[in-house]
Amino acid sequence: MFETLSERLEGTFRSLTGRGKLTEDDIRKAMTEVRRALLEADVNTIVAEEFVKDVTEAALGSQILTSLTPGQQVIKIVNDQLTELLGGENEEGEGNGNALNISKTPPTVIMLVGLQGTGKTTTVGKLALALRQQKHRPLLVAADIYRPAAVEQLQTLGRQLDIPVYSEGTSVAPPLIAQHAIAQARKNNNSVVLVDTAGRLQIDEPLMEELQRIKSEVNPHEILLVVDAMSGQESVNVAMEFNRRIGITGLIITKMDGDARGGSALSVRAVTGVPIKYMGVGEKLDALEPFYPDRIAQRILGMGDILSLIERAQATYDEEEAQKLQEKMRKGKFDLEDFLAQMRNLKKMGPLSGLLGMLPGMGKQMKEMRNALNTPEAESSLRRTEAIVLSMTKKERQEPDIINASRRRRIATGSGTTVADVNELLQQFRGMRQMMQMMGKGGGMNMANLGSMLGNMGGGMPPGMGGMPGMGGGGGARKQMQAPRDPLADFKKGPRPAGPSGSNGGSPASKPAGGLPVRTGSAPGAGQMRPPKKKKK
Amino acid sequence: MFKFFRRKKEAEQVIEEKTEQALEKSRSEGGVFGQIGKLFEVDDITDEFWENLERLLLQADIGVNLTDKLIENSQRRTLDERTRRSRDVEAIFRSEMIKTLQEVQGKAQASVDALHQKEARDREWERKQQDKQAQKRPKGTPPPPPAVIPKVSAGSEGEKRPYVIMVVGVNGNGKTTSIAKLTAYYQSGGASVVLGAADTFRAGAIDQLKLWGERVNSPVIAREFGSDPASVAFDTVKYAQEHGADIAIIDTAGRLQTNFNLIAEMQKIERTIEKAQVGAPNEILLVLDAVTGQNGLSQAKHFTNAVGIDGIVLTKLDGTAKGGIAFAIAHELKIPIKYIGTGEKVVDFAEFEPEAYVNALFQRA
Ligand SMILES: Nc1nc2c(ncn2[C@@H]2O[C@H](COP(=O)(O)OP(=O)(O)OP(=O)(O)O)[C@@H](O)[C@H]2O)c(=O)[nH]1
Ligand SMILES: [Mg+2]
Repeated sequence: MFETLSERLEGTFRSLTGRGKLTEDDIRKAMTEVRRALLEADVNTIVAEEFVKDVTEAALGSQILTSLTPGQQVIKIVNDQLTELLGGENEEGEGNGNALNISKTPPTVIMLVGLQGTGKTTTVGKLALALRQQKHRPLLVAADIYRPAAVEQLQTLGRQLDIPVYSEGTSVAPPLIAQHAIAQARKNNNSVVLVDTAGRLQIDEPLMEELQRIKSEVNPHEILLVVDAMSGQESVNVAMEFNRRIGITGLIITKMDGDARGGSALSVRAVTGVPIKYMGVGEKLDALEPFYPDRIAQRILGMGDILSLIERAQATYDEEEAQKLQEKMRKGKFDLEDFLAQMRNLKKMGPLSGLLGMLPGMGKQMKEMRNALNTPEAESSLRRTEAIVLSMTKKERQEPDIINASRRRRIATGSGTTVADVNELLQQFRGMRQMMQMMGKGGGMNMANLGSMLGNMGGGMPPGMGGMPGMGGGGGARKQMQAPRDPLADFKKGPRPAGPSGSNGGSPASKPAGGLPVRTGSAPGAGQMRPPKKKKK
Repeated sequence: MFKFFRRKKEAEQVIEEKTEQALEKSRSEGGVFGQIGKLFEVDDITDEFWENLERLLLQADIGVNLTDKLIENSQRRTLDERTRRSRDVEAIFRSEMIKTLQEVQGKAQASVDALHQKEARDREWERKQQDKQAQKRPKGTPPPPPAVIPKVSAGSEGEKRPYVIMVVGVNGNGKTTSIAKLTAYYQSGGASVVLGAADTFRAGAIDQLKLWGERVNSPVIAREFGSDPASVAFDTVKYAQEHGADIAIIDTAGRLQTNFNLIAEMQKIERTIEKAQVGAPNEILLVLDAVTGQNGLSQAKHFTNAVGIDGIVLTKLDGTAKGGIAFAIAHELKIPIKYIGTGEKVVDFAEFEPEAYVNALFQRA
């Protein structure tokens, strides 16, 4: 849907080569594109304008590094400034160091506030889980007495987590409930109290007053505003008003697992000056992550969030299964059951479009493929494949070579397809088996292969869809999927040779594995390896 | 005959008032659209005027592409008509906005052009506004009943079949609340409504719909937490058939449009409903929170690809966000906005009327 910023800037700068400096005019042209990209990512217009002003200043007269094209140069500056605005670059895997303010004298009181439907209650559950993992003893407080069944929702979460919930039904005033809850926390030695408040409009006078009363009743150590990543321009007004009325100490951005670019997160951070502490990345209660400014910066710029892609791949790709598959491949024993399993794995990784859309530096070619995969035809071809394989007997799946003409007819009837469809599938399978045997010898099952399998299964995909950049290497699937921390790492530190190999596991991927065209500057394969993310339970 | 017209007029007025009330806040207190109204209070139209207008449209989440287009079209028409008077330009601009929405609402183009009649009309309109101000209904007036209750032809043995509505959307945007509102709305037209609690995933979701069911006095078909949502939908349609209900509305869990499994689950719910009754669901509504930014387009696209969306319910218009992305959706995907949500109570609901909506947006504080 969006053209990436880099594509646009490339266009703008096509005519510009071999000049030593960016002129004011060049910068201005580029900035129009930057502004557009920001607006399409839901960055607030005013924030975007201010930002563009700053970047223009920074970019004016800056030297073009020899290894970079002017477009990349501008992107580097923009990316740096965006990261800065979002809270600065963070240490590897450490989040931005914006830990919660934990009181020396328990209980620590944390209050969550925000508009309706942003995800406060779920986030209360997630925070409770995270805090308990840090050896806290949380108490949840049901202070939303307005939305039907809000209390039941929190109670259910409490039961799921086995964490106590304090509630007094829906007829006691929320400030009182909160006060009583603190008393109970003291009595029961709860170290953290998480207060779930009702969603409200920032212009709802009585309800904003209620928040002020809760606040003065319980003196929270943290007041966290929950902001939906999908929200648009208004999020700035909402945040400013909440901040003015009750003073917020931190932000949590929810629903980042979708394809929202998250410009509103940037805007809210910019206008309130309070740090973004966490982001929500799924409906499950462990789907809460520290906030990574650099990742979001790239996402806002449409540069693809390679890291989320990898995490999603990891989440659905079972290491053991991958190793078994590798073994089979080496022995040339890849059968139709594996074929089906692979296909289901790919399905689990999200809609094809969403997955590919996350890849950085997608050239035009890639984009076309993405579009092709996103067609109903591609989807239905996937479905057809599944139906055909499911209509085979176990033996046929394990030894596809026994499938003769009469078996084909039976399979076609059983799956509601034609013999031609069955033939086509068998052909695809053989092609893939061959390819896998080759790869099985050369190294391992990796994302690159998944990419080309995707091509095969989409039916009639261009064969050049070699795979996804930066994901080569050997070892188990999990290890292989560690990618460079940051596709822009090279820019940030200026040109430098391919980064040092990862501290653990996997041979360093110094080149994109597949044949995918990757622009020099942003070749993600050339960066550092990222240490494995801390495992979450 | 005469009485029908009077009723219709009154209904239109209630819708207009509801739309207006909902958009009140953004008009006062420096909200975006109030500022657009103010913007036109200048004498002459300058470059700076267009720049300001652009900024305000972007702030309404209308998006870069449609903003460019609206402004270009208006500029062209301003040139064609050789006018620089702000009043003319406002009329032009307003009609461009209405056109964007109306093109997909299946309404006659004539009413758009009618709007672009000059001063006499304008004055009349302003007078009308003042009149209405004087005789406003109290807030909390329920929306006018539907003009018709949709009907599905009976089965081969004459058995009654309900009109099945499936409500979908991303998490927390107001699906369940909108279902309660929709129920009251159809009931006010004399229809019997059955609800299906097919959000079996989110904690408390079933209780939530049951509570609403009690309030609006409508049966809620549910299974236990965590059970198969498609089966609940199936049960609901069957129950509605057996009890001769006019309408069955299926609540579904919130899901992000990028989550393949959940989108597949939704498709399964749809297929299962079809199994329970040929041709159902008869209507699939996508709920969209007015605060949604450019991601709304992605939502509309993915949900449309997955199940085919018949219309949008634009919720939370009582906040300061005005749902500009709905313009972009109407424009790009040709999906009409059918209803608006204007608060948390069942009465805070109305049919969507492009003219009432745009006019309310432009009304000065
Ligand atoms: N101000 C306002 N709030 C609304 C409106 N519609 C719904 N809400 C509120 O938004 C919140 C979420 O509404 P729900 O109806 O539970 O939303 P949902 O889409 O069913 O949520 P999930 O099932 O969790 O995805 C509740 O607090 C509602 O009261 C509206 O038009 N205006
Ligand atoms: Mg719901």
